[in-house]
Formats: sequence, C-alpha cells, structure tokens
Amino acid sequence: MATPPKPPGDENRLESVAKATATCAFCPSLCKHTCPVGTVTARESATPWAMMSVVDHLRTGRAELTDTLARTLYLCNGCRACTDFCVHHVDVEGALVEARAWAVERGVRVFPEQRFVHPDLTEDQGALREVRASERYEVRPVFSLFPGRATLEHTPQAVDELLSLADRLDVDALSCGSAAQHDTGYDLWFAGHHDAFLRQARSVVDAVSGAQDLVVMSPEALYMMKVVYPRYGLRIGAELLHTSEFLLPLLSGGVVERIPGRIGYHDSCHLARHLGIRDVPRQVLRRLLEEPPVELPLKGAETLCCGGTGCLTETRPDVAAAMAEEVVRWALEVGLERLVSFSPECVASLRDAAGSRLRVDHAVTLAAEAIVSDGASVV
Amino acid sequence: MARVSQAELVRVLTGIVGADNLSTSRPDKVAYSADFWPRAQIWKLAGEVERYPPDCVVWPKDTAEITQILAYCHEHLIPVVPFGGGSGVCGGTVPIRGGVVIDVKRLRRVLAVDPVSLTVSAEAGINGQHIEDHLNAAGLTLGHFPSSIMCSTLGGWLAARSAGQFSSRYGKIEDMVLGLKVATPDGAVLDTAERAPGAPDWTQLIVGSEGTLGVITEAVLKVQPLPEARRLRAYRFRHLADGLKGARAVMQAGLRPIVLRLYDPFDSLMAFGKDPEQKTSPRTRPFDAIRSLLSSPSGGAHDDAPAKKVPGFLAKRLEPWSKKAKHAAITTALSAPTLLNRLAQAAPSPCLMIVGFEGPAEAIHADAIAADELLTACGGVDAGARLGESWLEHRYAVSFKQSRLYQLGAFVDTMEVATTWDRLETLYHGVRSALSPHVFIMAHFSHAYREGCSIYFTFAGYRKDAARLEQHYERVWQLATDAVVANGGTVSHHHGVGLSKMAAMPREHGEMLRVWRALKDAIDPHGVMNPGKLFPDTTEVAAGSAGGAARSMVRS
Amino acid sequence: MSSRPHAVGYLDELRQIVPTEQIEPQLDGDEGGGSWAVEPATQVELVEVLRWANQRHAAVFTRHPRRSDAQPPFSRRPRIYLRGRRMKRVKDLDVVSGTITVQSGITMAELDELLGERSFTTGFPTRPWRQESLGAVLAAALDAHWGPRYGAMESEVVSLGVVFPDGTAAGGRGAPRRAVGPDFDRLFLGSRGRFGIIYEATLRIYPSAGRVALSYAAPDLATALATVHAGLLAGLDPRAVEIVTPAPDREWGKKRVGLTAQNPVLVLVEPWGPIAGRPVSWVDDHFAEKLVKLEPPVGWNVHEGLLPAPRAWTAPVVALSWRELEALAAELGGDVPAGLWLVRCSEHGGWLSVAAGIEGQAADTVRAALVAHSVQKPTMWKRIQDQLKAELDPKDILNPGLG
Ligand SMILES: Cc1cc2nc3c(=O)[nH]c(=O)nc-3n(C[C@H](O)[C@H](O)[C@H](O)COP(=O)(O)OP(=O)(O)OC[C@H]3O[C@@H](n4cnc5c(N)ncnc54)[C@H](O)[C@@H]3O)c2cc1C
Ligand code: SF4
Ligand code: SF4
Repeated sequence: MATPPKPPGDENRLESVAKATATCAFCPSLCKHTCPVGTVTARESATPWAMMSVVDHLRTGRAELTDTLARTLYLCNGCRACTDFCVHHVDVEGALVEARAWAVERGVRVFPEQRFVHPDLTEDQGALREVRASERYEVRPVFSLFPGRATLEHTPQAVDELLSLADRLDVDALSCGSAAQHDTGYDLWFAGHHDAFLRQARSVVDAVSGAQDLVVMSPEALYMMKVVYPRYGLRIGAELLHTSEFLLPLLSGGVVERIPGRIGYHDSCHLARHLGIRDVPRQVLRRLLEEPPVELPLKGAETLCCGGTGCLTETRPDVAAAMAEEVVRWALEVGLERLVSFSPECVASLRDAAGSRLRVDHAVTLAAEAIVSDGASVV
Repeated sequence: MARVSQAELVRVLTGIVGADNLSTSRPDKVAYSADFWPRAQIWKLAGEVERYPPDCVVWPKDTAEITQILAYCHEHLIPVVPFGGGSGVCGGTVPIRGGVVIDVKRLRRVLAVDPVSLTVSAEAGINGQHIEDHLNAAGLTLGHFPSSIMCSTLGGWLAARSAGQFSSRYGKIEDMVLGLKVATPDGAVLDTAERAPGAPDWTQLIVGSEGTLGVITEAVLKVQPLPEARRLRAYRFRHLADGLKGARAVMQAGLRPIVLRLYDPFDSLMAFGKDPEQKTSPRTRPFDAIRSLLSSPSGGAHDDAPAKKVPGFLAKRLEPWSKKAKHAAITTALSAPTLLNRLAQAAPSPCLMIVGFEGPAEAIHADAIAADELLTACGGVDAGARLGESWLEHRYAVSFKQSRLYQLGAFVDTMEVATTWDRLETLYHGVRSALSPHVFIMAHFSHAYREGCSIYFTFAGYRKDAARLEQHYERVWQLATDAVVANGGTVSHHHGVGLSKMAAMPREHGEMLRVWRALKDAIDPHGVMNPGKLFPDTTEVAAGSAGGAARSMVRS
Repeated sequence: MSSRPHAVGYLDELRQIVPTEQIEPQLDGDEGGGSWAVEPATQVELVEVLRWANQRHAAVFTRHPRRSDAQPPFSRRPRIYLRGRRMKRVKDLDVVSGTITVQSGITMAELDELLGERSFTTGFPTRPWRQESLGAVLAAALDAHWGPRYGAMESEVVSLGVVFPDGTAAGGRGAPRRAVGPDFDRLFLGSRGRFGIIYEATLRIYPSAGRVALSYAAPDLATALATVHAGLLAGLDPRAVEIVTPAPDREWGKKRVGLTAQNPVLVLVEPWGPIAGRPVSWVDDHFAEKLVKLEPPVGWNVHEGLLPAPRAWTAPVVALSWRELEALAAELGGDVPAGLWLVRCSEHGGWLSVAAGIEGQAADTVRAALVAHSVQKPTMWKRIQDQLKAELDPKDILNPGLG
C-alpha cells in the first residue's frame, strides 16, 4: 500500500493516506512489537497504531491539530519494520511523512526547517577532499562514488578505505566530483519540509547527472535516490549501486586474509527493508571472514532499527540512543566480539552506544583489513 | 485520606517517576483511554476518541517505583489502572473512573533463563514476541502463542489468564506460571512462590485478577526446548458432531497435540475457502464478500490449491463486483443476518480440523499416526499436510482483517467460552440460535483438553449509525452471555472479563464471589485497583477522589 | 457456673438438625461446652450444622479430636468434629468428559474401587491415603506422586463445592479452563479447612487399562537423575517417574526387587501408553541402556512396601529444579541415603523428601537441601491469610487454632 505523494499545498494530502490511516486506527496494534520506538519508550502513543490513529483523527476531524499532536508524528523513525510485518503493508513511514508535511503546511512546525538543513560540505570537511582529489581519474568515470553526507561525517575513514581498496584492486575510476558534497535532503523530506526538500533534491539530481554507475555508500541516500526521488518525478540517470554490490564482484579478484572472531552483521533498515539488499552484504562478509557472520536474532527483513536513521537523532536523541543500546544488547547477548554494518548512520549510533563493550566497524573497514592485494599482482 | 488535586497528583507522581515518565498530554490520554474492546472501537466510530481519559499516565522503571505509586494512590483513594499491552478485548484497561494508568512496559527485562531446569524469569511488561525472541535465542520457547502475541505483555497474559494457540500441549498461561510477584496497594511486594505449608496456592488466586488486586511485576514460567520437528495436518468431517468426537478421542487417549482445532462449517468456509468439491452458488455472494473481509488476507489454503480453480464462466459471474456493491451487500447482509446465517448453512461445507504435533521427530511421527487412526475412526478424512501448514503460516493473519469491517461501520467481536465435552454441542447450538437473528456468526473449537474444549465464536453486526450500533452491540452480548450461562458454559476461556462480561459474573461464580470480596478487602481495602472491573460489587472508590471524579461507566 | 447444662441443650438442638445416630458424643472436660462427632448425610444437613455452629459459636473441626481440645482456648465452646463418612454419593460420573463429581466424604480406597469397577482411575496415588477421605486429601493438598502428566493434586480438580463457615454453599460445575477472575477453588485446596468445608469435588478420571510399570536400579543418584532427565527431554512423556531408596529396615524387600549395594537406587517409570507418549519399548531401551533393569518389574503397590512407614514422612516435600537436584546429586556423590523419595519428576524438576530417622552424612545433606529450599515461615502472605480468615469466618468457627 504505497503512498503516492501529493504536491505541496495539496489540501488532500491526508485524504491520500486515508485508507492507510483508517486501517491502522481500527487495527489492534498488531505490529507493535516490531516498532523500536514503541519498545524503547514503552509508550502506546509512540506505536505505529497510535501515530497513524492521530493522523486518522486529524483527517476525520475527531481531533484538532495542535503542537502536541503534531509532535507525536515525529516519533516514527521510518524504519518500516511495521510495514514489513503488516499484512496490509500499510506504508506508515509514507503516511506520517505526508502528515508532517500537512502539518508544516498548516504552520504547525514543531521542529523548524533549519534543524534539518545540512549545508553543502566544504573541502576541508572530513574525507571530502579525498573524494574530490580522486578526480585525477576521468571527469565522469564509470564508477562514481557518492559517499553521502552521513558517510563523510561519521565514517570518513571508510571513504578513504574504499578509495584505497579500489586502488589496490585496480578499479581506476571512482569519483563523483562535486556531487559528493551534497546532502540528499532525507531529513527535510522526512520531517515534512517538502519545499526545501525538493530544492535540495533537484540540486543533487543536477550534480550527479552524467554519472554512469553511481556507488552510494549511505543506504539512506540510496533510498532517496532510488525510491523517494522518483515519487516526486526526479530521476537519476545513473545505475545506482550500493557499496556492497560494488565490492562483491571485486572481491573475487582480491587476495583475502580472512578475519577471525565472532563477528556479526547488523542490517541497516534502509538496506535490508527499504531496498531489500540483504544477501549481498552477507556474501561480501562471507568472503572476508573466517567464520560466516553471526546472525543477530533480529536480522534481515526483521532487523531492529538502531536509531541512526530517521530524524530522532535530531528530535529525540534520547530515544535514538536507547534504540542503539537495544541492538548492542542483542549483540552482547549472542556473544559478539565485533559488529559491522554497511551503513554509516548505523555505525555511528552503534559505536556511541557500545562504547568499549563492543567494537563496531563499517564493513568497508573489514574489507580493507582483509584484502591484501589484488590477485593479479600476486601472480 | 485527603483528596488531592490534579496538580498535586502530578507533582507527587513526578517526584516518584521523574517528569519524563509521566504524561498528561492529549496523545497519551487518547492512547490510554481504551483497549481493543470492540465497544471502544464503536465509540471511535462515533467520533469519540477519548471517552474515558486517565488523569495521567506513568511509566515506572521498576517495582520500587510501582510500590510508591500504589501506596500514594491507596492513601488518597486514587484509581489505578495497570496497563500492559492494552490488547485486552474486554475493556479491562479503560480508565472508567479516570485516575492513574500505570504502564508497566518499562519493566521489560528477561531476568534469568535456566536451560537446565527449563524456566525463565522475566519482568511483567515485556512484550510477548520479545520474550519469545529472547528464549528462541537460547534455543527455548515459551510455547505461548496468543493471536495477540505481538501486542500483549507477560503481565497482561497473567492478569487475564491468556491462552495461546498451542495450549492443548503447553497449557494456558496459568499452567505455565510457577510463581509471580505482585505489588499491592499497601506498598508491599508479594511473591506467590512463597507458599507455606498449609497455605493455598496464591499464584492461582492472583492470576486472572485483571489488575484489581495489584500490579504483577515479575513472573517465573516453565519453558520448553525448541522442538526438533513439527507436523500439521488437516482433516475434513462431514458433521460437526463427528469432528468433536474425534477431537475428544485424541485428547482422551492422552495424545498431546500442540493444536487441535475444529472449524464449524461456516468458519471452515471463512478460514479455508470453499471446499473444492462444492459448487459455488451465486446466492452466497454476500457471504463471499464477508469472507474476503474476515478470512486470512493471503487467502486460506484453498486459494492457492489447484483444485480451487473455478470454471471460467462461474468466475466471471463471481468476480466483477464493484467496491460499492460489495460494501452495500455486506452492510445489508449484516443488518439482517438471519438470511446470511441461513445462506451460510445452505452452502454445505464440511468441518475442517487442524491437528499438529511438535517435539522429537520420531515421537511426533508416532503421535501423528495414532491421531490419524482415532480421527479416521470418527469419520475424519485426511485433507493433507498443506492445509495444516498453511494454517500455521497464516495463523495471525485473521486479526488484521477486523479493521476493514470497522471501516464499513460494522463491528466484529469474539466470544470464547468453554465447557466439558458432554455439553459442548448444546452450548454451541444454544449460542448460535440465540445470536443468529442478530449478527452474522461462526465458530471454531480450539483449546481442547482432556475433559472439554473451548468454543471461539466470531460475530459481526451492523447498524447505520454508531449510537444504535452500540445499543445493538450491548444487546448481542447480553443475549450471548445469557445463552452461555443457560447452557452450562463459562463465559470466558481466555479473554477475561473486564467490563464486557462483568454482568455475568454473579451467575458464573454465585456465592464463590465471597472469596473475591475477602481477597479484595485484604489486598486492596480502599478499592483503588482497577475499580469497576471484573466483578460488579467490589468496594467502590468514593466519588470525587483525585481527578477521577466518579464518572459513570455506561452513558447510554 | 458449669456449662454442662448448655451442652445438653446443644445436643438437643443438634438432634433437630441431624438424626441422633449421626451424633456421637466425644470426650469433654467438666467446663466443656459439649463435644460431638457429627456425621451429616446431606449437604443440607452440613449447612444446618454450620449455621448452628455459627449461632452457638462452636468450634468445628475436620480432624480427629485431640485431648488438648478440651483445654483452653476451646474448652468453653461446644466442639463439633465433622465426619464425612455419610457423604459419599456420586453425583455424576461423566464418562464423556472424563470427570466424576462426588461428595467429599468418600475415602480414597472407596473412590478407587468405585472407579476401578468401571475401568477408570483418578489422578491420585490412592495407596498412601487409603483411609483418608477425599475432602481431607484435598484440604491437605497432599501431592500426587504419579507425575508430570497429572501435575499437582490441584490440577486434578475441575471444580469444588464448598460450604462457607456461615453455612452458605458455593461452587459448581467447572469448565476445563476459565478466565473469569482468580481460581477461587484454590483457596480451599491445601488450606486445611480454614476457610470452608469442601463437600464435593469434580475430578478428572482416566481409563485404568493398560498400565505398566517399569523399574530399574541405578548406582547413585546422579546416574538415576541423568537418565530420567535425558528421557524426559527426549519426549518420554510418562504418567509417572519416581526415584526411591528403600528404608533401612526393608532389607528383604530390597533383595526381593533386586536392589544391591552397587545399585541401591530404584527408578520407577510408568509410560503413558498404549497410544500416547513414547512406547514401552522405547522407554525400556532408554533406561536399560544406562541402568540395571529389574525383573519382574516393581509394581506401585510393592514400591510402597519399600518405603518407610507413613509416619516417617515428617520432613517437607520440597520442589527442586533440575539444577538444584543435580547440584545435590553432585554433593552426595556415590553416597545415597536410604528413605529418599523423589516424586513427580517433570522437565522442570521434581519433589523431594527424605524419611525421618535416617542417619548419616548423606541424609543430613539431603535434609539441609530441603530446609534451604523450603519456604520460610511466616511469609508476607500470613497477613492476607489472617484477613481472609477474619472475613470469611469472623467467629473463628472452622478449625480454629490453625493460625
Ligand atoms: C487481535 C487480538 C487477538 C487476541 N488473541 C488472543 C489469544 O489468542 N489468546 C488470548 O488469551 N487473548 C487474546 N487476546 C486478548 C488479549 O491479548 C489478552 O487478554 C492479553 O492477555 C492482554 O494482555 P495485555 O498485555 O495487552 O493486557 P492489557 O490489555 O493491558 O490488560 C488486560 C488486563 O490486565 C491488567 N493488567 C495488565 N498488565 C498487568 C500487570 N502487569 N499487572 C496487573 N494487571 C495487569 C489490566 O489492568 C487489564 O485489566 C487477543 C486480543 C487481540 C486484540
Ligand atoms: S501498520 Fe498494519 S499492523 Fe501496524 S497498526 Fe497499521 S494496520 Fe495494524
Ligand atoms: S516505521 Fe519503524 S519507527 Fe516508524 S512506526 Fe513503523 S516500526 Fe515504528
């Protein structure tokens, strides 16, 4: 039950999600256990059922829009666990995004736009220089790297590592030029500030135009480009690839020194659920590790959101932290020594939560550790 | 015992739980003003989203905070409503007198798992699926799978004597619990495992109290190793009586299936689709429409069965139904259900039975053979493993469907009654004939035991406007409970009493209710715990306490 | 002032309620308010007796008279010793549902015989309490020692009929399971007649045909436990499993069944059979592999001959989990005390006791474990129990002095 977005200013925004919200409002909250926000807050009002009910009450006039009611709409982190479990596949994330946009349009801006605007990165920030520097390759190489703001902010090392890996494996084209400095506008979209989002999205589409294969490191960014942009009529010409999809074919060529230990894989929501990329990351890890990666009890399509995505880190950092703690606790319960993820957002939030209890790494770091050289040079 | 103002109440409770863990905000008041009692859904249909808002909601972090809250409310005569998952279907958590809702879901830790003695100890607020996840990670299972496992809590299960789909083997929650801790209004925490010689079994005197005695904070339960194998099969019976005989034979032989459920002809049709051998009649269209609303969404097993293929010409006559026509057909049919119930009867369909075993592979193989012999001897015809497996796969799906009916402005409710084998059929027919003129009704027999079984009725009704729908709803329940009592059944096998079945309690228990009064006076002398629920004549909270100024329950 | 004249008046009053032949005077002190054993024959008579007792502030006991009853604090109150022997009517034998509703005065032996004639049995071990009435057994909550399939004694009761101390009767036909509040019947099971008199009970019954017992000898407790535990986990699903070491003075019995110094621990197993659970051959293979099979098998009646006399069972019967049982076995090593009895072994543990008067370190170890795992008195429930008593029996008529 996907929600077709309405153009900004459309009075019917809520009517477009009517079926979804009514379905939830009269549902006995069957997806409650999947919602990480509901679980860590222990609040009924923070469950998919309650948030959707609020929208339904607003829609039908059973309740009036107030700041307090609008605020609850921001408790969802967009992990889509509920949708995946729901037999009707109600698009809770989408409906709530529409509802937020509706509230924003009505001037109820509990979280002002400014909080979600991420200015373009400048060269001296993090690894951006590296990405730009690799422009020594062709201007528009076959593989263009789009690290995404989150990667550059949280796991800049992974960008370096990916670039040097590509170097070692003799992939000699990896740059996306100036596009790398843009933010995809995920937060703006998610928070309902759709005018600003559309401006941002257009600039990204322009910046990456001409790329052939775009390797996107942040799953959130990949989701925007692959799924959300097209809903607004924005299309990216390039073939969109996730880092893992880019790495997998390369690994067969590299000489690998497999890494030992109880290492687990945390599926990012966007990767595993929004985009359905669940096997490729595991295949990558299987080639790098001595033992197959340890599976967390909540894995694959059932993965537990660690709070890294959505905008809770902005609106309710306490809740986001509690969500990360939950994932870390599971990792410790199954006795992991190290936890890896392909998402920079996940790595950042899990690292914060884990502290010294558990090592958390970007999967690219693992690849960098394991790949000694490319196969050809050994021969 | 001074009365306190709302401001004072909030100030004191904030002092106990902290400002972040207390709310008086609208979204919380709305969310905590009801549970999934269908009647509360009708209120919603009428545009009322918070008929009984609490004065405040608190989320204590541990037992110590709970005892402080209780002691305060006890002293000041403030109603307290314990809240687990709020998945109750009887109005058990509706704060009819306002007061304080204590949501226990922050108490959600698994405290200890003992894989040798096969026990788990956990806090009461843990979500059902979450405790199962933790046990599964340790190679164990609780074996408790209510259809609400995803939205209910351990404490709620114990408070309302919940039953899971595998109850025939593992029992209901009261059969699994070894002991529990309960925080009482005088600020004490009682541990029922402390049964001194010469004392009664306190556990069973607390289990089922639906928040009217205290707040359950922890429990120790039996668990099982994850089964090595599982086997499910379906059988078809021409007559309901034969199916019941078969079910009884299996249980009384001492076999312990995880599940043994027999659908009446109507429910068989709903759950599994039309029998491929039966001809489809266009007269049953409304029935088909309701089926599409009520039955499992991905279709029952028949839907993907090759045998189901309806001949082209028939399919054509059945398919093109506009949404509006469908809507109209359903509401019309539900307004005059006699016809529909008759139609359902006229579309002859066998009764389907699902039987399943789990455990060590060889053992269940033998069990399955033994069951097969017994069922075949009673006239059962093997309908294959696929229907059984498909039931397992879709066993939670039906709950998703009710939302659709409400969206049409109808209600759907369930009533799970039980009795001994000798009265089971009489009870079934008694309830059916009492309700047939008023609602569309179907049933299945699940939760079979050695000496009896429960009957799970599902009924749907419709009236044009919400106010009349509520009256209709009330009347239907009155008729239903009367029929159950008259036919020697218990009015609840596992949903509990709450508000919806309270009126039937004097007839259900008779003078035994004295024990209740004594218990209540001993444990909750001021009557602050979930007042106005479970039994009609408990000590009432004096009017005018806190914000919970005596609001009367039924406004009709 | 002597109260004897009262006593005479009381007797007259009692005769209005029950025929004279149902009243038997008991020993009473000079000061006494009168003391009689009364045998109501119907529920109505029982109700009337209690009503009368309430009016007269009598003390009503459901046990045998004791010399001390004639002393204070009861000496001035009329005393009634209720006997159930005339209330043993079978109200309903429902073979369809597999239940019997019977008045509580029936003795266990009578009930057993009555059901036996119809090829049924209860879930109770009848032997140890042959002469006890059903009511007494239920009120004392003696644990059934058959095993996991029957569960505790309480699980055998579908419903109870009780008379409250003021003569109000309550209870009725139960359902297999209910969710209509707490299980009020439980107040009367095991509470020794403090709160009411159980006048009838509906019990589960089972077909008695096809019962077989298998028996084995184990070298020590650890081996016996390990074999039983493994069997249960593999789906043994028995009617009963017990582990027994005979009393020290039962040398002849030990020899007769085949227990030796090397293999002193008796393991008794009763498969469910004939259709359900693991087949007998499977059970036998499992146990015979690790333990010594005893031929011919020791039947349940023989096994009671191996146990110390009933009066030796003064130690509490305590529930121990498998973890606790295994720890105890490890502590005992090869040294197993005589008079050990582990009953109702399930996947979670079993109920252990040891006979009184057994000497030696091993017995001391077991006793220490029993003390460590038994409930310390008084518990937090004492206050609640007292309040329940005060409310349900405000005049302290029923079994006063129990505390
Ligand atoms: C779709 C659906 C399917 C269902 N299927 C089943 C089923 O298969 N089997 C079944 O048994 N039930 C079923 N139910 C009913 C319901 O889930 C059960 O009654 C469940 O036990 C309620 O648990 P809860 O945590 O949601 O309790 P709540 O609804 O929060 O509370 C129920 C009652 O218990 C009290 N309570 C809750 N927690 C505590 C506590 N910690 N201490 C003291 N009192 C407490 C409340 O005050 C209230 O009176 C179903 C309900 C729905 C909506
Ligand atoms: S998403 Fe689906 S399961 Fe969740 S509340 Fe809505 S309808 Fe129910
Ligand atoms: S998308 Fe995730 S965070 Fe949002 S309501 Fe659904 S489960 Fe909760």
